[in-house]
Amino acid sequence: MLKIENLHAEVEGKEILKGLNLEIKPGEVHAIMGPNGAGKSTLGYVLAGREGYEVTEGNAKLKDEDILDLEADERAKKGLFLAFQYPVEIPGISNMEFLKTSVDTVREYQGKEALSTVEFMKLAREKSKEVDLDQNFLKRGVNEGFSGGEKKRNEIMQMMLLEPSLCILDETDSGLDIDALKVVAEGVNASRDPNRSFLIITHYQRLLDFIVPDFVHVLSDGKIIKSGGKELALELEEKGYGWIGQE
Amino acid sequence: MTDANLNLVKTLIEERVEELPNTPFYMADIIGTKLPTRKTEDWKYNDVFFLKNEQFQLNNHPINIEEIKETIQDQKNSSHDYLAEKNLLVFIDGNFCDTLSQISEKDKLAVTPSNKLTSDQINEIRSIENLYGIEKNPLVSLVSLNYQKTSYIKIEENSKLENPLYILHYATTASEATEKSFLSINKLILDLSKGSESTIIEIFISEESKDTNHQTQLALQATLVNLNENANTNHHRFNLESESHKQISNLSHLLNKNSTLNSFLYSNGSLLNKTDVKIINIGSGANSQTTGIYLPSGQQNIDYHTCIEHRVPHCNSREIFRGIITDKAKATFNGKIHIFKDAQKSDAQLSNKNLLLTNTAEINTKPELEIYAHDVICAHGATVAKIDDASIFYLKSRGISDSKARAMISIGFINELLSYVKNDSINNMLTQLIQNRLSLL
Repeated sequence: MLKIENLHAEVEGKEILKGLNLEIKPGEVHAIMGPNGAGKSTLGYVLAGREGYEVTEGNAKLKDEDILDLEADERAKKGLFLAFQYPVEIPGISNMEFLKTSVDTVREYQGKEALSTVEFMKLAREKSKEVDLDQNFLKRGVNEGFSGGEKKRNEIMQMMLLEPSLCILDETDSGLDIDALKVVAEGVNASRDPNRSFLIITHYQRLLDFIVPDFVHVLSDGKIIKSGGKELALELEEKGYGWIGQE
Repeated sequence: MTDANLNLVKTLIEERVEELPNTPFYMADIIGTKLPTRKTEDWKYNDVFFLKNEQFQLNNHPINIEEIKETIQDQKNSSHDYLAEKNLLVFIDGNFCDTLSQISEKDKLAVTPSNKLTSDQINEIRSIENLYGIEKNPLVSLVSLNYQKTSYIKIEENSKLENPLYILHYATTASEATEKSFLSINKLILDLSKGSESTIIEIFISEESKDTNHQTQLALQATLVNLNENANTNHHRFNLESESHKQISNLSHLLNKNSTLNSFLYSNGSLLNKTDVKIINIGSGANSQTTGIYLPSGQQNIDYHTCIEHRVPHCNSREIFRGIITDKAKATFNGKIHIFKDAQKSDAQLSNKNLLLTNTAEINTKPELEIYAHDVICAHGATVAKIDDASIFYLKSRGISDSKARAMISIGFINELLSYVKNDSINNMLTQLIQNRLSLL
């Protein structure tokens, strides 16, 4: 599904990723953990195609296709989804209009049947119910005045509607109370599928109690320095990140 | 001013020279009609060089009604069928066109074109103008001098217009190349009687210039709306002219006791479009909402100078203007709130926000407060911003293309103002105009 080889990337001239390798197969859930400043969010932005995040070496393939030269919207159309750590508020555009435009564009590209306005609204209401988001949020401006938890649930709802192949969740657990965390995790678990992979970026082991990963990687100073099964997350929770470097 | 232009000004004045001693209105400017320069404060962001260096003559192009009908129906940014409107007044190069105009609500709406004004009506117009005061815009005072170009529209007492009144201002261009520049003049008095309710929309369109020399087509236009006691109106004004056109105009509202004004201005037209907007509260309990959207692109220059005068106590005014400026276009917003000494308990708020889409776009914004009363609530503010990269990336990460993302964010910037256009048909027309405009940016 995703294959990253020797990825180097810099932001404003500063090298953040320094030769990162990672392979995710269809249906797998990988978690990336690591201390502040390790480059976790940068990895998400580089994969999603944010401007200002410059790849200097290496490559990344989504379903065997190089994606690093593609615009962000092209990557999204090919099935990559990034759930933002800080979803952006865009007043004036209704959430519904935004979701419909997004889903229409992606479905058209993927050759899926177009949804009528009525069908789409029905689907959007269903999904908003699944993430426990009041339907009124569909009428409001995109993330406008949403609480932190509401924004994250909105991200998961978008993921469900877009049906991506690769979902990157960037610290989706940050700022969530335990109930919201469960709702978000249930949304993710319900979307697990043999043809869909997840890359979960997180600080804490807590989220991984609810979304159980197949693999856990430790990112430090721009590289993956240790990989293991889900038990690695527990070990990190107990001992912190310091011991890995000393091994 | 060239000799030819001076002669033109003299002709304009002489047409009604015998009336001059009786009208203090505009007198100050008539004496020394000085054209503005870059050093004139209210004109400093406008290129008025052409006024000095081009020779103007009154527009006298031959008119072909059938061709004009086609052009009106073939507006590229709007599918609205103006000619099918039940209450429609058409002015071609400032002159009333009887053939294309039609009024279905004749019992509520009386229209007197300029050549049919009675002396009683001229007196009525003068008494309205006397309430208004001295006009400072020298070009507008030229318009006001000229009752030959003044039409008087009256909505009868306690009448409620069922259909909006459409006023279509249509500008022609010369059919062949010419050295001369053309000037058209139009003045409207909208007299809204006591207790009347109405929706009025003025639309400005023009032919594309057929001339590669781009001689100036200048329209001088003034509309004075008099809201009598308890009158309630939605007044809209859309400037959609082609980019070979220039317009300098004045829109004034006189608000008498307990009257309510909802004014909406939209502009994406003309190479130079300068509109002075005045809202003058002369009766207690008057309420006004003034909303404006300007979307200049290319080399356009759109300028709104607004002034809300609170001359009496207990009036409310709200003013919101937003602009999106792209390419090398320029916009100017100067919004003034003037509270007179006796106007206690005034409540006035003004806001202006701008979005610049390119590094070469320019906005000059200046909100002003001039307050002489002590017990008032006033607020004003202005912002200038560019489109946030984070917002663009967010939309793109959901599969939306860069251009579509920019258009969506631009529309989002002005979306909430559209709710001030209450009439569904006009609202649809405006939404379509804006969507077409912004998808082109």
